[in-house]
Amino acid sequence: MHAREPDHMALQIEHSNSPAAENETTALWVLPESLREFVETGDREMVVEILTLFQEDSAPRLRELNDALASGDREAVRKQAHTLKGAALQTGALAMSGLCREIERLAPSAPSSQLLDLACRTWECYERTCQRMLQPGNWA
Amino acid sequence: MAGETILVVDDASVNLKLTDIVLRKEGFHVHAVSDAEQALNALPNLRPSLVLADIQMPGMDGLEMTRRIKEDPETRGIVVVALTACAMKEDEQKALDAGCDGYITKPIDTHTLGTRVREYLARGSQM
Repeated sequence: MHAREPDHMALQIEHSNSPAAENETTALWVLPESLREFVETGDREMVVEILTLFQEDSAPRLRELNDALASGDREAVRKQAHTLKGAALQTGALAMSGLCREIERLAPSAPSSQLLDLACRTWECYERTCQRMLQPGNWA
Repeated sequence: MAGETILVVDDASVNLKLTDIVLRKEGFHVHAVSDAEQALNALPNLRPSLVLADIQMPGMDGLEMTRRIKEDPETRGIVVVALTACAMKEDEQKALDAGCDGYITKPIDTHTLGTRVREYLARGSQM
């Protein structure tokens, strides 16, 4: 299943300066098999609803993650990253899920500057993912 | 088995919605809530056959919620299944230690979720 691809693969491509744009966008977001099945059985609207929910739910969580970073509440950072990671993986946002996994893993001990850098990259990744996932032409 | 009531508890709205949709398609009555307090408050009237609960939630987590369900003679017969993050083996053991009857790993596999829930319900009815 696409959604179970190792996150490091997505991250590796995400960090790459390679001009292989097609691979990069594929790694950014892939419609998971579990949602593709709904599309194939005519439940396209339901998939749109779930992807929209992901977008609407993730934005405030990312803000809360940043707030927790600013206040030094590392346990709150870890928990938000954990929830974001799960929702991203469930909806095929592979690169974002990988970044959140890194934040979750590093939250207890990494320097704040490293966590802030990861959080910024997660925001950027989220925005690019949103642009990509609701374009039906990308669902093939 | 289909037609039984399932209470789903998850603070991530994507997971909550997807689980709700899949289990309704499988014929279950589904009640979905976003935190443990709402779940515990719903139990007396809802009387679900099974609670499907995320472990890591803000406020009361899924482990504490499970302990409370299993400590109460009125609710201890309810099957509780934890939703745990894939590859978090320690979460799985914590879930069992808290009294969960089993666990299902995330991301949710929409193809097998209904079958897994039916299996846990069947096991629960034999206890």
